[in-house]
Amino acid sequence: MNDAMSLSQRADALEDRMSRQLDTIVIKSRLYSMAEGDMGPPPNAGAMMAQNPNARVLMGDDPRLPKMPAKPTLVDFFHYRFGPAAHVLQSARHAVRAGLPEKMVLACLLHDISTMGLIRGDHGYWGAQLVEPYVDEEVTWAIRAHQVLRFYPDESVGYEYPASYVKAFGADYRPDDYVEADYRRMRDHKWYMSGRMITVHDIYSFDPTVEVELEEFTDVIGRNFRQPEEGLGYDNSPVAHMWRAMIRPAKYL
Amino acid sequence: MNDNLTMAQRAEALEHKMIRELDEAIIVKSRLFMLADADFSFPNGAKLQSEKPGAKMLMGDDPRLPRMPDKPTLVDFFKLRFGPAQHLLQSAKHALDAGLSEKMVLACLLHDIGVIGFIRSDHGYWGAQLVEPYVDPEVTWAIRAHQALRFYADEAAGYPYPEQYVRYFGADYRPDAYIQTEYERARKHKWYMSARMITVHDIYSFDPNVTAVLDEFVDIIGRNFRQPEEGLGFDDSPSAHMWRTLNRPTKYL
Repeated sequence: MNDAMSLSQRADALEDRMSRQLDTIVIKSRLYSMAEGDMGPPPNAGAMMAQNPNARVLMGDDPRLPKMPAKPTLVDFFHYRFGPAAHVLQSARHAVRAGLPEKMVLACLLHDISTMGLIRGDHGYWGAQLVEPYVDEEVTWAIRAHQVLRFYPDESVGYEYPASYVKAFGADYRPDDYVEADYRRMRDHKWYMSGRMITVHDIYSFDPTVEVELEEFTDVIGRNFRQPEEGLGYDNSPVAHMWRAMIRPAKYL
Repeated sequence: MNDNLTMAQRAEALEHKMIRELDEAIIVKSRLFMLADADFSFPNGAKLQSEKPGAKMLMGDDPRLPRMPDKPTLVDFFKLRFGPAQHLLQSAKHALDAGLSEKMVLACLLHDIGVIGFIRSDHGYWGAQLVEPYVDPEVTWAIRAHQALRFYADEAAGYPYPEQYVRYFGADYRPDAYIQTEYERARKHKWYMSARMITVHDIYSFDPNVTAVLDEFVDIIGRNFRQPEEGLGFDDSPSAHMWRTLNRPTKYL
């Protein structure tokens, strides 16, 4: 590439080359653009196709992403879509060592899958929604609840307000009202301690020297996660489209 | 703000305030949004903070986006988050002029909110999921099913395969197997014709000479969309977190 080009010229040239290579037009979803602070209208796909008559909007697999199997399993998502999983693997192992039942080990293994694969904000609610058709109700409830409970200490089980949160969010950070209201509801729930256990095994598990493999949990997943025969995303469950969005995050429509 | 400031001064002051707020915030994108850019890196909050001392991970409102009211309504989302709505407004007007029932006019008005406001990929499913707690089940069903039905002609109902799709997806495009299955299921459903009506009033409604405004539909929304008192996102409904993500697309956790 020509060094005399300005940065924006280079970016344009790169984009142009990529789109010619791909003959694929990628239009970002509104939510993704807003996350970049972009409130402008979407680019006009029709006009872009007028410039490159071979180009099509993307409706199939994204050529830039690793190909997923036709019937993807939970493990496939760990391998081909999720970000680094060391944190949830350490958390799950910690739960095994503490003698928690298998379904709670699964809850610890899955509690942050939305952060790793889908959407960060309110990730506990998103993660619970993703797995709801495939796991025990208590697992769903606990994943949802950990979103809230992490902000509230419970000295009775040794859970203090995380020092890392003071650093990340500031000493004066207070959870939103809806989180506070959810906390009060959850505190009185029969499964409170299951949600709490996720936070207990969550917070102590950031150890860079420990390596845990997903294979350690294949059997726990097999026994406690109802992998749909058609593959995640293709089983007509209420959340199938959410898994499909991870498979093809830039599908045009 | 001081009334004596000129418009440009005001804009500048506002920009400074935003930059200050941005200086104090670290904004990271969710995995899904990064996957749509084929970006496989994963943000490390602690590292980002060490590079920007004093800054906190964003947990509140995104200073780059218009501020939402505390108890946002559907109309607030149209005004402050969604992209251009002309297509939906024209579609709803077309349905109204054709004498469709109010709930079907609402279905036409909302059928593409997945596209104009949220996630494009399989937008009919996302749109249906967003509105499910607030509308008649037939409306939810029709929004979900329009995703599949648009790919299949029904000449008797006045819906040919859209010419635009040939241009956008290519003449050889065939819908995925799960869409074909969904179509076969929907074809036999008692509400088939409701979803079909969305496609009928969808495809003929791209008219640059017609301008419809949201105010025309305020009463229909009022009578057919159960706006939660606490505001969309804060009513503890199964889709509340999804509206909150639309409100704050870059909340860190």
